[in-house]
Amino acid sequence: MQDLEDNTAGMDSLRGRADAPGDEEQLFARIAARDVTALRPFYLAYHRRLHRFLLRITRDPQLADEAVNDTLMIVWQQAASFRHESRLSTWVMGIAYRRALKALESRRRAHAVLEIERDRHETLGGEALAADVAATAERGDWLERALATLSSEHRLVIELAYYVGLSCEEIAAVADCPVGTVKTRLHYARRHLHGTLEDLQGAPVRCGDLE
Amino acid sequence: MTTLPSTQPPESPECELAFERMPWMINGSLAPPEALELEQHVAKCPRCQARLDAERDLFRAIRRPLDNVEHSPLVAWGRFEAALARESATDRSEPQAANDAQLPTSAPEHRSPAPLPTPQSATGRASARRRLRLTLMMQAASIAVLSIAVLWLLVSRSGQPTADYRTVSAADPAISPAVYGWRVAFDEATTAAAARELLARHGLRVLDGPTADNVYTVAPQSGPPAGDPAGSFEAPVALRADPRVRLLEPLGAAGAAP
Repeated sequence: MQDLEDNTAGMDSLRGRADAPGDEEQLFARIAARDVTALRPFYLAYHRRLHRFLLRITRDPQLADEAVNDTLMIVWQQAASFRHESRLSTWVMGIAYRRALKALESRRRAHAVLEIERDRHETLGGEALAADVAATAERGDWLERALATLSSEHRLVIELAYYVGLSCEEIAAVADCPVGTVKTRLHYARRHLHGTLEDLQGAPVRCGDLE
Repeated sequence: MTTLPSTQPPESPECELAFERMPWMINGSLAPPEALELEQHVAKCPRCQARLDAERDLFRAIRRPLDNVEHSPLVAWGRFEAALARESATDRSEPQAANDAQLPTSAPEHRSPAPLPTPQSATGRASARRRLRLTLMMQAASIAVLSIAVLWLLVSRSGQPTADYRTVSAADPAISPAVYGWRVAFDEATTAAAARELLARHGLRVLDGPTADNVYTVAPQSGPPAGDPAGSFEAPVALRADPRVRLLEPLGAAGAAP
């Protein structure tokens, strides 16, 4: 349980610092009034949390930076149209979510070969499958590979819940979908990931070694 | 690392509920009374205890920090500032093209003085946009030249003035029913719910969309007006003033079906 608490320690920085929303709202009001001097502190306040999320999705620091900049450029350009129907941080994360979706789709197209490999993996026989799973475990990238087999929407819902630490309702607002859809997507994603993990049980490398 | 025991007898409703609540308890967003219920259930259900352990393992694995990642927000800010300068410069020099491109929403006079651009890399988006515009302009010019050539061929072969040329099956443009509908492109920040709400506020219903580019095909909720076709364009003109609308064009103008 201690591990768990340690792991959750960074969550506030992803969700937004509890003592900062007031400052951010003030900066944002100035941004909406086209005050460019408010942009820099707002940018720096959001960069870290957006970068961590988008780096997690893109796995490329430069692409993550570009996605962050795209997100905050949209914030700058569209600030006047924000109607405060959701929290400011949720609106910003919603823009980042759509950038992440695009990034995932781009990666999916670029790595279409992985899909072919997955099909091959599924058609392998028991012995070959165990060898393939063992090789995957040895590389330590089982989670990455399992995540890559999820659809972009399923992937993002589990990242938003576990990596960003958003609540079910916050994810629904960010992804612009009903709460029920979030629950369904998360349920499927978790079953899928656990199923992949269960496959690893037959491998020589113990799952605990992957931690 | 624990794995989820999936080959088990049918679940009880309590186990299903516990499974659904686990992620929210782990990420700290579950309400305390529900978290207490879950803890009490897990304490007496070994299967759910194993599942909770597996879930925590998954949580830890996903939250494991990425190695050797350089995070330099000030460097990124430099690129952002340069992109901002290019945006401002582009908006000043090509206001109409900027409106067609993607996102600008406000009049140039509202723009603040542009920060000094940095010479090296930036997001790359502004330059890509300029390249896209150039490509589109070249394509448009090519299409225009081709159209003129085809038109000239038709006229010279038939020996009839263009205005009088019409096939038997073609409808008379003077009596053709107007195509009542528009294609509306929203910026990326506009959610589906916000777009639909805005369209409804302007008396429009969605026929199709959104596409991957956040484009909707819309028509008046009340259907085609019985008199003056030009009157049907009043609502979209008001819609165009909304900063979230990137593009608005009547379907007929684009030659698309309603």
